[in-house]
Amino acid sequence: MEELDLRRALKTVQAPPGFEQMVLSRLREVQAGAAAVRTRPLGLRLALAGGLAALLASFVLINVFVLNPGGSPADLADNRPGQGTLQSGVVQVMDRVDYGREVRNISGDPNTIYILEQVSDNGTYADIIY
Amino acid sequence: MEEQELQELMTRVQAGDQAAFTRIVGRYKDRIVNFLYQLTGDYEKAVELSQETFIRVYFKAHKYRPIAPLGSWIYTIASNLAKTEMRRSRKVLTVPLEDVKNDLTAGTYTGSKKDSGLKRNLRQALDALSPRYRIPVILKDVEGYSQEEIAGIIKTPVGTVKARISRGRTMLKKMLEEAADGREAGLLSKEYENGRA
Repeated sequence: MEELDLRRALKTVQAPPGFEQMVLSRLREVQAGAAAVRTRPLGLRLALAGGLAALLASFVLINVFVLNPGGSPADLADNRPGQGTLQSGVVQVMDRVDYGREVRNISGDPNTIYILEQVSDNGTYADIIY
Repeated sequence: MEEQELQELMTRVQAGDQAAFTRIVGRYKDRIVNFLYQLTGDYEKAVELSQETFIRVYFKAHKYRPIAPLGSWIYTIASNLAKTEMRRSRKVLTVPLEDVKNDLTAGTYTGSKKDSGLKRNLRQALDALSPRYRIPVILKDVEGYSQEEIAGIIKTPVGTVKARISRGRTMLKKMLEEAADGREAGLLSKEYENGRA
């Protein structure tokens, strides 16, 4: 600005007397406030931490066992017989059969002979003796 | 005080030395208070923001890297605080336009530079200027920083700084001339505020 020298035209001010002391006292106030936060009673901090942990645990449990007990629809689809299990390479058969009841129920029918075979991943048919 | 000495003081401040911090405050207090006064137009606010600036200097000392002069770093903190304060108080928007008009026409641009009327006009014109122009203009024309230094202080490209200084000066000059002519300065200040001069 050629016509106007801002530095001369503007009123200049200085810091008030004792400015350093004002800054230092404010600095101590801030430090004291920060220290008060750091030295908050241990019991209170533990209670807060415990409360938060309990909240988190209940959230997880509710999600797993109450809101979504069978998993998501995608999980169910993956576990359909012969699909999801093939991916893992391990076949686990858990099928309880009450053969006594089966026999009683069919007592009126022609006699049926049940041949019970041992099913093994490792064995071969040659190992089974009839 | 040489820059080397200031850097050494800053190293001591980083270690928590309050005596070194007090020396840095003493070195920069007048410049920072004046700078913030020119930005805000309020002495009490300027002193308060200056205190906050130095408090931040102390607590952020560990972030300071001696790649730039210490003064520039302190001015960066002060500018950011002033910008936040100006945005918060929206001082420009709360000045009644009638008052601006009356104050601006009370003095004359053609008078002596020591004329209090001119100072008052200039103060009003600066207050009406958007902070995006006000800060670079004051850093350049009052604090005497180069455009490259200002770019470092306000974290803006040099080209943008040049443009803002030029545009800010033009706005100020035009506002003062119009005030001297007794035109509708209040209405114009609203336009400057929006950068539509």
